[in-house]
Amino acid sequence: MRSGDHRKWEWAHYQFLTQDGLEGWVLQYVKTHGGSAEDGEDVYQEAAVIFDRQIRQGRFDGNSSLRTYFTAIAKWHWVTYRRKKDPVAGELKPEHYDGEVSSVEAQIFEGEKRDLLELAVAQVDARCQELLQYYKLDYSMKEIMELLGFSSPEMAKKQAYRCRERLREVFERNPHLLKALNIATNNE
Amino acid sequence: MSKRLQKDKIEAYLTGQLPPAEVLAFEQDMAGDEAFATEVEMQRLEHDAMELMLEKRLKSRMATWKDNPPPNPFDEPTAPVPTPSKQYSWKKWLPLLGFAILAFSGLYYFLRPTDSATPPAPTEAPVVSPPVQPPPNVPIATDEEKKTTDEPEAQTPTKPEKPPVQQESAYIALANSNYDVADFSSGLKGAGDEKSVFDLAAEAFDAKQYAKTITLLAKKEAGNESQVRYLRGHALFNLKKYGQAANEFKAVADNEFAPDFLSAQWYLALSYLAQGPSTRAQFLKLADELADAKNQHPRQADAAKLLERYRGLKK
Repeated sequence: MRSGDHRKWEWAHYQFLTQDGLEGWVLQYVKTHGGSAEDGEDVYQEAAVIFDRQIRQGRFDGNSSLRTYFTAIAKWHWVTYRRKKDPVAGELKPEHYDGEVSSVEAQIFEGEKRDLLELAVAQVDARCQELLQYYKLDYSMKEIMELLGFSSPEMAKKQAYRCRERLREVFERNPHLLKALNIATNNE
Repeated sequence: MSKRLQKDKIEAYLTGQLPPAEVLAFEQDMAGDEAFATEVEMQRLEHDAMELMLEKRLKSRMATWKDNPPPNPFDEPTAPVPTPSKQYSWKKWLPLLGFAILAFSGLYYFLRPTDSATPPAPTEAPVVSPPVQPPPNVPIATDEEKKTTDEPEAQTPTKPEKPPVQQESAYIALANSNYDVADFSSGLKGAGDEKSVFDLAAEAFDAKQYAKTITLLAKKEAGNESQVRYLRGHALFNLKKYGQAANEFKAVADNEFAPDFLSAQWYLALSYLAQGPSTRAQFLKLADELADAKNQHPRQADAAKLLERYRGLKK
């Protein structure tokens, strides 16, 4: 799952996330804890994203099975999801989380920041987005060169730098974003 | 420090690659230099944005999986480096030899009687490719169970396999009454598309041609190993070869990445059950695990009911 090869990455995720009963378990859990099928779908998807990030960042220590780890993330995510939708009903109770889950909590984006980042990402072109994804997945510049057809790893590196600069420009053009994130820049 | 060097250092800090000895100094610099701290936060924001891109990518891929599963990169043949000058000439004939073997196998398959009407012919047994270990406690089984459960092949190498007995043991009956499996071929390619060996095997299984299923699955190109073993387990179960079925299901149940690993645990329990007292301990251990609510197994309720009925049998 931590593989740099995007085909292996996708295949491992596919094998794990579509395994028998995993999605059904999340849907059932959400339904029995006051959510709808739609909520369950959302929680399953978000749990998959958080799970992927935890694995990539080496935060899964192997003390439980991957399935147990995933379900803990889903449980915790349902609590935060519900709290966001209905702050009173979604009160966080000790039975909703355990040590494993609380470590996940620190990793997710806050909702507002996420919305603002979505806006920023949408302003970067698709090719740059693809390149930056490979970069974030720890692909080497040689691999990025091959995947995106650059003439050399150096060209791929230059382009990665430009793409990040573009992202930076988008941030700087959105002072409200930086303000929301409590980041002061020289432009202000 | 040059801008590029500073950027690289921040990158190392954000990705956890900065040596621990330098982290403290780095954080002290951040605390004492607002511009530097802002630069770190901006770069952190870039990473957050890249994370968001990956999230979107994963979600969009997940949305396509139902109709368009990703290809298995591990199934791709590893192309050998061509070294014609060093190759022996006889190697050129290997593909032809392989083709001839396949052709003979095909001819044999079409000339032999179908399995849906008759019990499986004894010569089919070697087609099951993985080595089969005999159930550990076979000698303990009663005579009746020995007739109904599959026996170690070494014990009957030359004799035809006995036809299924009319009266199944209570264990087999209980296992069979809990055995339910969805069609394997539903959702596979349509008639116009070229079907894979696995598709054909799944169709044979759904048509209750279990020996044919096994024959097809023995082919090298049958597909993903865990899928093959899972389907073969079902075919063997239906052929009442419960010990061999258990071996197949166990291989899948032990592989957490296999798509059917949870289902395989359930069918493994049924395979143990069907073998009667010889695998009683394995059955009880596994069924207890599945029935334990804490494990959240999708078959938890079924397993609890099964155990209850099993204990009723024992009384």
